[in-house]
Amino acid sequence: MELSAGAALDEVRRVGEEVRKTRRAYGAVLLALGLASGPYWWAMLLGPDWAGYVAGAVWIALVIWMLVLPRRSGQRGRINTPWVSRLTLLGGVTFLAPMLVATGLKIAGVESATWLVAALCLISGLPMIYAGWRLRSSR
Amino acid sequence: MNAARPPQEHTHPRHDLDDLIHAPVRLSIMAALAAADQADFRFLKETIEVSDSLLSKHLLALEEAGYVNATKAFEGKRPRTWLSLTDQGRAAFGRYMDVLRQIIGEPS
Repeated sequence: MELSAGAALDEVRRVGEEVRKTRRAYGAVLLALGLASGPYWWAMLLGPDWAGYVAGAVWIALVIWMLVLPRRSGQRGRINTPWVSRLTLLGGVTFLAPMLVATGLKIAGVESATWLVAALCLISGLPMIYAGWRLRSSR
Repeated sequence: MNAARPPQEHTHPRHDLDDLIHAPVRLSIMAALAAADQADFRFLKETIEVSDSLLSKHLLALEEAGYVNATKAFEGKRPRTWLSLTDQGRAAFGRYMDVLRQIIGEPS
């Protein structure tokens, strides 16, 4: 099949748009996780009981949305960027940090370090927010 | 009388198109991998809408030319093939796009 220059350029644009669409969807997931993780840990570790239940329910809804989103766009294949993988790995560490530190402080019987847990809650989602924002804004 | 004449020189930019890239499926593969740093086999199959065997055949041609690099990895028990452009492949695709724009008359 002979391919004209115009058709070739159109195909390059179409495929590029597919890649951007997938990248933006992945960026939305990371952004949502990053934005939700601070309030989640705050409610779980520092808030009243009812806030913990609400946070748990919202988190479950978020995970379901994350699993459904790629299927809704008809894509199950994946693309990857090394810097996103590194940031996601770092995001996993900062995500777990508030829980690990709070548990450690509880075991050690330290009760005056709530500020440390609060600070970790604040930064827990930053790597994922940054990765999500960069993925959604990249061309 | 048959006077020996030097072969005619090609001046139209279409002669500079890389034949390996300028084929429907291979062009789509190169375009997808140029836009994404790495893509898995399934993503290419869904985006380009081709069968596994056809995609494999064209990927093999691009791999043999040194344009594409394939890495096999396991995620749990599932094998996943990641594909990316090599430096040579990225350069070839850049040149190919320049020629296309030249033909169309778009500024590169």
